Amino acid sequence: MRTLFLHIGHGKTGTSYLQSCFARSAAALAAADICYPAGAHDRRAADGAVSSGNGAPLARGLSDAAARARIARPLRRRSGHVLFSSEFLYHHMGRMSAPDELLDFADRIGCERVEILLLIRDPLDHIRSAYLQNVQRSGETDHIDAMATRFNMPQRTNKLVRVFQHPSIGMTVRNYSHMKARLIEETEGWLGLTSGALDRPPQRRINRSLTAAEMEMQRVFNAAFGPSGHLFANHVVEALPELEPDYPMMSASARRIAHDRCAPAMRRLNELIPEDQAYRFDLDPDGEDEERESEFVTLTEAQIDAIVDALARHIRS
Amino acid sequence: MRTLYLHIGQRQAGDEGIRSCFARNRVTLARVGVRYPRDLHPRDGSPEAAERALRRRFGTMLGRWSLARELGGEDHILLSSSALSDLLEQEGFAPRLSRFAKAAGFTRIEALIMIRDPIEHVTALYLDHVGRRGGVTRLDTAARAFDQPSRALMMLERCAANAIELTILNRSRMWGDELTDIASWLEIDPDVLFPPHPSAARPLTGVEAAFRRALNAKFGAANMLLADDIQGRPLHAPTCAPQLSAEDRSALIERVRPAMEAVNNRVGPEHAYRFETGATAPDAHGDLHISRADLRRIAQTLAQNMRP
Repeated sequence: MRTLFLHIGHGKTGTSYLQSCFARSAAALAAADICYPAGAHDRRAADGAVSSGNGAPLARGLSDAAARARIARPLRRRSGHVLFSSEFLYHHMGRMSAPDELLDFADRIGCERVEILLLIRDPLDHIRSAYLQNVQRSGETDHIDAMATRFNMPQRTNKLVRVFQHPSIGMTVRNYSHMKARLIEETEGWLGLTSGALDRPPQRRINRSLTAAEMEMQRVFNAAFGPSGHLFANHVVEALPELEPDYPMMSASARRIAHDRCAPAMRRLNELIPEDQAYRFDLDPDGEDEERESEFVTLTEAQIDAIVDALARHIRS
Repeated sequence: MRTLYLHIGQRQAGDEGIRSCFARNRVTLARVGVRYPRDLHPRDGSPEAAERALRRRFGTMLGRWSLARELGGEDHILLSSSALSDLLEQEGFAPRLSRFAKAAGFTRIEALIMIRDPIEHVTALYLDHVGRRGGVTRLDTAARAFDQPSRALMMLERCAANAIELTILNRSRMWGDELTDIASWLEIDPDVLFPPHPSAARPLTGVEAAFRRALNAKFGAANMLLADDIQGRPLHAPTCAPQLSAEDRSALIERVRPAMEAVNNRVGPEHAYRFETGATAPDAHGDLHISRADLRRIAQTLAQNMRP
């Protein structure tokens, strides 16, 4: 049975790492009769750079029949399964109220079945990681508490999962917070590959989150220039992928607000997924009521060299 | 006995503070018979200007001859420059200095060299190197090249061989007592001297020094990019100076130990080198710490110089 495999993210669940594996594993995938159509940035992805996978055109095509037809045309002539990967799929599918356009695309390329891999993440874990990404890429200047109080990923994910409940669609939900060390193995299992089939990229970490020092500096640049991760944060993250990120601290009241917002959706989604993959929300991490942010941050000489190297082209000398 | 007083340095062992004290007390010193020549020690006290002036005059026979004529008279003369230590390292300069002093009418030469315990000294030299001289060398590299105890020993031997009286004072032992020791060396009453102006600039923190070094590597001397006014502002939270690793500290001490011991044999215990590596200091193997507020200030300063 020809299957359309969709890895749809969501964000901050190791998507870039998986996409780097896919880009490096064309031969292994082809041997398993899985076609991974080339993405715009696959060469960079294979080297471990940040990319957005090969599914962005398909994501846009879900709301555009003509675009869908164009993407489907070359795939119709192939045999075997097809794999797309993109976080944009999560965003576009999240806006749909029925799976019709997706099923239409699968039909156009001759796939009788759709298998979706959806990676979720425990809310506190996700908020911290997403906040750092917002600082890096979206010009965030607020404290993390502001983001925590508006976080709604469980609600969006719950809606998506229910919209795409269909006899021809299989939904595999895995919780990245619980299985990040086994991300590749789980994905291999989902694709029906043997363990070790996918080629791991050489770096351990791709698209790491910011350290506390990097975050402090980037917020200053965001306040001065708007979204400005291109000034230094993106460069430093790619130049020093092995640095351990520092997760920012939330206040107890912000955690409580986020919990109360997300709890109903988490409960409903947890009913649909295996217990070991269920959402968890620890209101009281480490037994402390209040998380306290350290007054001090740490930098290495290599980090400072990378920061200056990135800023140098923008400095008036 | 008409005396030529020479403050030889070393760099970053309190030499700038002492020079500032001399400049501030020029009139006072003149009143007690010690002339601190204005044209050899420009008013702004910049060490580079003083060094250039002295090198020019002492570096050639004609320069020394004309200087001897200018410095003639009855008063004692005080000269201060780190250039004197570079000149004394040249073979043959010490005998030329003795001849110069005699020609200028001095009956004796009294030299002063300030030393400093090695770990403190190499850190101060590193901060001066990246903060003011556009340097790009890292602290651990600077530590491997550090040779101030050997140079102090060389001064000692050259002065002894040429009848130059040498006083050695250890800056690391003198915080707060400099005026008394300097006055004692000049054989004057310490109460007549005004203390030097306190420096407006604090030392660079480890993070500031690392940024300055990296900017120097890109742009040359980067004083204006990570502006000097950062050093004029107090820190939001005190952080430590740049730190050598425990391994580098031990290697430095062991390498210069023979010279330190030789110098210590000829100075009193009060000003002797100490051999501690700073056992209580953290092993700062590559990590630099700074408060969030102070790091934001660095980022703001950089942002002000950017055109994205």
